[in-house]
Amino acid sequence: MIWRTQGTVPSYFARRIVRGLATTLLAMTLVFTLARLLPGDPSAVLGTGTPQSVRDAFLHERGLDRSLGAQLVSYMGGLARGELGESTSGRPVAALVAERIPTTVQLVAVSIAVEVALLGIMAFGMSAHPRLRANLVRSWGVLLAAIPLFVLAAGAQDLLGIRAGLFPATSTSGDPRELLLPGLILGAWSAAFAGQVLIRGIVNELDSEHVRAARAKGLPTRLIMRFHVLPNAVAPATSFVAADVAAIFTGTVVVESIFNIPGFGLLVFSSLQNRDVAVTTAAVGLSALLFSVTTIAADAFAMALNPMVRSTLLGRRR
Amino acid sequence: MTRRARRLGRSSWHLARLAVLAVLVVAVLAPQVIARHPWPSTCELARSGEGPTLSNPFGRDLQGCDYLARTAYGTRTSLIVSVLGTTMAVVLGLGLGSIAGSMAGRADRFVVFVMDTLAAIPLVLGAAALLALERGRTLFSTVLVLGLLSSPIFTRVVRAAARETAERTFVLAARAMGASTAHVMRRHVAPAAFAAIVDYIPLHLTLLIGAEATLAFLGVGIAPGLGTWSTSWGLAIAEGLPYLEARPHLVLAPTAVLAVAAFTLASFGHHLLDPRQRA
Repeated sequence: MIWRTQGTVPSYFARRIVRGLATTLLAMTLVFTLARLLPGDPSAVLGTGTPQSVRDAFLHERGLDRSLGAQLVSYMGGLARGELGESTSGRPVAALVAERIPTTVQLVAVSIAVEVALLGIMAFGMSAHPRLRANLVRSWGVLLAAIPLFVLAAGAQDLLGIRAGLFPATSTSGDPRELLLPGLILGAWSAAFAGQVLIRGIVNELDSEHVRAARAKGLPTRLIMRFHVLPNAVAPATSFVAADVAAIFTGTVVVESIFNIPGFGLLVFSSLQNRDVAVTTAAVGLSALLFSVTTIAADAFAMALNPMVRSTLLGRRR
Repeated sequence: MTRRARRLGRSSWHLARLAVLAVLVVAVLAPQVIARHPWPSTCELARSGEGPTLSNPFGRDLQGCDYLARTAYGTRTSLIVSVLGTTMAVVLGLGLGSIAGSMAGRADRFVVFVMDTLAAIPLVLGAAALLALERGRTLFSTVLVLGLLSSPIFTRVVRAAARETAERTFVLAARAMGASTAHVMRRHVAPAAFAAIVDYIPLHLTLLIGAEATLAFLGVGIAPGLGTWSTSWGLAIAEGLPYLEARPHLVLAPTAVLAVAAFTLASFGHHLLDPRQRA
């Protein structure tokens, strides 16, 4: 996001934060409204033989029997008071989030750690034969990206968890070790994407003038990678990892349901089955908020590292 | 034929992916050509879940139907959702992006804000939340939701390209000669914008194949009751998952087809995926 107005760093970030909050609110409103505007009868999920009274109760529980305007007004009013609506279980969604989110935060943290470790291995393992290894990593990444996450997770659970018995295959006791395999999958899956950015950065740097000059003066490949290629190639991957936090958060919906981890992701999964839309809308809002927060943090990080980024972001060099 | 094209044509890898593409096109247009046993009319419940044999190379599903036939019919739904969704995202991106790119000020800021909002909504979770009320869940509503939520990447690229083009000297020259804004948009901005997004299209197709499959897994995929249209690769995989241990072919066969298709499509473009849009 490039701002053309000039300003100081704090005022820039103040505006970014306000904008991030506005984006989150609009995203929730959009999902809330569009979900109700799509054609069809929501109670059709109950099946054709369901009596009218049951259908009415189904709609009433979800507040769907009122007009869209009335639903929206009461929902927005709730948001203003810091409420996220009520789940069909009768409990406030905000309380459910608070109860379930710690497990999911742990899982996201494990996944990010795995991702960063894998990216580090990729970056430093590239020193010897950069081009050959770049091709290897790239095809591995595309292959991993071609398989949907739920299949990867179920496959890994079956092969590594059940058949090989290397990891606990499902969550039963809340032991942190049960987060290991799910975290590995989410991390490897994310690294497959972020790795592409990293590899592309490395290959671009290898083709650049300063690397050619370093080669001409006889610097060994290992040192060229260490001092000329990696510092420049790592920066774009860093901001990608930040954006990955939100992607991993939404990935927990799939992974927690497969590994039966009782976090927020599993709640969202079962809410999708029950058409408990208050919870699913809140999940979208949380994810949008997380995305805004991590993107802003990544920009702040990039700005601290590189003064050129500061002038671009503040719009002095447009 | 240019030299470059000839060089590509000679490479066997290129031929292989063209062959995959051809098979996919046949599966979309006429699944009955690939399905030797028409689906779902010739099923034998007694042979439920049978593994692969010579006459049923993909095995049979739980209803005893030929799994190759079901996968072939699934191709149609999966790819049509992906192609139509991508088309919708491209059209939205071209429209909004060129508006934002050629008009500075309020219009631009408004489009950018809407785009940022859509970009902050995760593709699969957002689509699932939208479709959760089971009001739609037809092919149409799935396409609509996936196309809308995945459009920001195109809007962003088109906006940047339009902005850059508008400052080029040939556009200034055209304006100086009295060309209207509409003319400039049509003749100069749109071609440049389209050239900028063409590379993103193959990966976008891949992305939506995965997204549709994940929606099926989350239980908000295309609803049953649409006849042969209501099966897709994702639905077949999701239905097979509980039997992964005992009947692995139920998962492996459609996954392999999906992965080959996704890999092939992705190989036609070399851009990166947007981190928010994965599944």
